[in-house]
Amino acid sequence: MDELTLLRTVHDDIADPTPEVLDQGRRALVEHIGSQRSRARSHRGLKRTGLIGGGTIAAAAIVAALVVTNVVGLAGWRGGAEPAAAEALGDAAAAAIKTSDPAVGAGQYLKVSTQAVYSVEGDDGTGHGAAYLATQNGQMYVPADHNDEWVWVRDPSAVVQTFGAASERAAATAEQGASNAPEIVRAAKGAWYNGKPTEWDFASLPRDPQQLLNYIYRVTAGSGVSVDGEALVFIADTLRTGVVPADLRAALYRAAAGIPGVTITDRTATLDGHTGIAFGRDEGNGVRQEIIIDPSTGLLIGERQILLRNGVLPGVDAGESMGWTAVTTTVVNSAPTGGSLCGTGSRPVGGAGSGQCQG
Amino acid sequence: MRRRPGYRELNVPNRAIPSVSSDSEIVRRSWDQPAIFAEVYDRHASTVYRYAARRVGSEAANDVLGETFLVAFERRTRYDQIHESALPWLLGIATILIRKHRGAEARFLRATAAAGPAETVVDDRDERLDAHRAVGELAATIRRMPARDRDALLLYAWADLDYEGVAHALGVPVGTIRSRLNRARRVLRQSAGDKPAEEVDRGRADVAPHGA
Repeated sequence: MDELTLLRTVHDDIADPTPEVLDQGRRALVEHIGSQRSRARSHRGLKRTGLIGGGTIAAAAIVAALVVTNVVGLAGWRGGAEPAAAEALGDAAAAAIKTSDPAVGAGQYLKVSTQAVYSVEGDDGTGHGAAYLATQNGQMYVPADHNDEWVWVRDPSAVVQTFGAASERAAATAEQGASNAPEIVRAAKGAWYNGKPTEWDFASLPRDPQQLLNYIYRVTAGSGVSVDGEALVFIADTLRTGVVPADLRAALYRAAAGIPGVTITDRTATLDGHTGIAFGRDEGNGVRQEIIIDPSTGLLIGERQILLRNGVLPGVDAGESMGWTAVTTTVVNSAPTGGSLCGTGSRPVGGAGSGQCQG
Repeated sequence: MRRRPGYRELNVPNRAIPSVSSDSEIVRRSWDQPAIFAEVYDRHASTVYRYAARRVGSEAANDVLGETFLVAFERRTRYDQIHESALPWLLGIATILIRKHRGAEARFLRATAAAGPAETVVDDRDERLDAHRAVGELAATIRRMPARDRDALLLYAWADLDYEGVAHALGVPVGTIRSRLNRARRVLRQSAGDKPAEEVDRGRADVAPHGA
């Protein structure tokens, strides 16, 4: 046995960290991140707006400073959405409860089709910034038994909108050499790309709107532009998975009705051919996050981000959408074949669940 | 090309679910969206902990683990985007923090020397005695080594980094690492009573300057 081989046996029996140790370290990190954020934001905010009680600045500090519970938190006492928006969200929630979720039988799949568009910023080749919009569409096949194999077909990205000549050049450069074949990823438990299983822990989320909103404020503390804006983003992110059960969907709409600053931004918003009511919140950073709901069924049509100022994206004017997602779900009897855990041309490395693929 | 800071991965409702991005991309995105940095933790906390626990024992490793990620978060804007994996960088930070626990490290190595190898290594009784002695000498030698040689050696042997990874972790050229590792291994062999003449990395010139 040479010295290195022997050395490698020393302390090789050291135990993995316990979940408590890992949680403790993670909590410390998240709290640290949260405190940094709220401090930075408070300083900026105070300079600009002076000391305002009850605003989002104070709220951010409160979220970061207090360990809030679902029962005692930010929701409820700072007002809520604009009355018309709150009423429409309440109606949508009532409709959502009446709409039954598709039943996925044994051996069947819930097929979640996502039409998504996002903005890409690049350079037009002459050193000028330019932006364009590209798709990120996909279909996820979620098996009835979540322990079974999931399949995710990811379509190649395609340019859908450009904004002038510079934008066209940037898009053309970026699309050179881009793949034109869909990628198929298949993973037991939805552990895509050798990562962790996809777990939608919807059962544990509170159905009481106020408790749910407090929960959302708590888990999103420290992210985004404002606590209220990030809460709406969380709701949009959760809804756009397409797999939220009806009772939680209703609770999320009612939670959105409790977020100060949420208004109806468009009564006839059309996304992917479906028209519904858009609810949004002006974040003061030139971008408005919206969720679009079909008022008759309470189904989510999608979510989008609207630009409120010129030049937030280089060369793009106010009023344009900088990204959107439309989601539809259906029940199907089979999923596509082919593909692998790491998609096209990669293989897992670093052991199962390491989150790493190479190739 | 880069995505807007506001861009969010699809199908990631639970923020603990890892996206498909490389570490360097996540670190870059965490400039604007600090909360994303928690994903670096989810990916590498166990490895950082195991490395620290092997060096200073589980109790001190808890501290090293927590501090490593706080320091990494504070330094995230200085992360060199060339490196796709953040692991060597994190292990480098952990290595610096471990120096604050030199007492714990020395105690742990002394205890190792006394306890000998883990049961599973050898079953034959004579071999076991030999191995016991060898591990004892090894632990004592590591304890007496200069810190820079020990750091390089243990990042290589216990954290499974390659030469480039160790160089990245410690922020020195690869040639320097090669030199430190050669020296450390020579010292280990000498302490085990082997002939010192035979270098294991045959044919590789030691290009690092003296004292590296």
